[in-house]
Amino acid sequence: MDPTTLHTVNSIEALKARFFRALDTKEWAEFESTLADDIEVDHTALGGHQATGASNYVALLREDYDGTVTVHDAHMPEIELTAADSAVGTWAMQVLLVRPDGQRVLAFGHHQDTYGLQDGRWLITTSASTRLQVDES
Amino acid sequence: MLGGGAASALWAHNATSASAEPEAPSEGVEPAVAVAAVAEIKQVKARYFRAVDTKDWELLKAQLTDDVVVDTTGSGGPVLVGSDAFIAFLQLTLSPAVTVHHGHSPEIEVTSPTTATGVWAMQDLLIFPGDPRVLGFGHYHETYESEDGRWRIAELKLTRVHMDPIGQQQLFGM
Repeated sequence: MDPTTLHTVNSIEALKARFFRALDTKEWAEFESTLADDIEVDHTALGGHQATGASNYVALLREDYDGTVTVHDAHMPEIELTAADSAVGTWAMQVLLVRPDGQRVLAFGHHQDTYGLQDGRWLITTSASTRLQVDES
Repeated sequence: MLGGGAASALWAHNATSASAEPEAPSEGVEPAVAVAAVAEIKQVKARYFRAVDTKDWELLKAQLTDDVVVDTTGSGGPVLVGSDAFIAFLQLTLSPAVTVHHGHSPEIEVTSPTTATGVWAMQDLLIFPGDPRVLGFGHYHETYESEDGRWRIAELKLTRVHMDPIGQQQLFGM
């Protein structure tokens, strides 16, 4: 891996970290800044949501996660460049949701992402989930 | 960390996983080579864990040298020699289980352009049929070799810090 590729991998890892941090702290403007405008998302396998378009996705999350604690822990990224302006990535996931009524979901699985370089910034262009185990109280 | 039950132990463990990864620089290896090797070795280990958890045995085999030595005595198992023997052992012991392995805080040292060592903190959740569960914590101590430009795990030893037999209701205060 050459230094330029390594730097890109680091940038993408930081992008995804920002995605999770902003999601969990409900900083929706910062969260939306990590998404491509036409992002396609399906995290239903890990207790999340399915949506097309960044503004639709954010609106869905804001509504469903209002009053819900979410903790997304992502581990062991595998990031690969597919072109100078695109990449794919896989993350091992642990997701904890605590609903306002105390109901909990604990999910383990993987995120499978694609990333794109747009106007000099890396953004998430698609994100899907696969599941290993989901527990609900 | 070992007191207070599975929930507090799990949170304490996860709190440290976000910290920086100490990477010891190696004398005699150019920084660019060492940095690239560390990045690739992290991905090898990531694929190893994902392969075990998704039971993708071909993907797992591709992360191991053919003559890999795996020491599972820290978990009460044997020492296995060879990727085929190790994979057969995993198929036997883990096929009925759902497994989730998360690796954290790698310490990777590149000792030459084709050799490296590494230590990973690890958390594993094993769920067997009928739902008896084990939540484990420990460390992987490993060596890596690069051949034809690809890094693979050559030696693997798992040591245990703690293993918690738990039911679903105790996991994260469910």
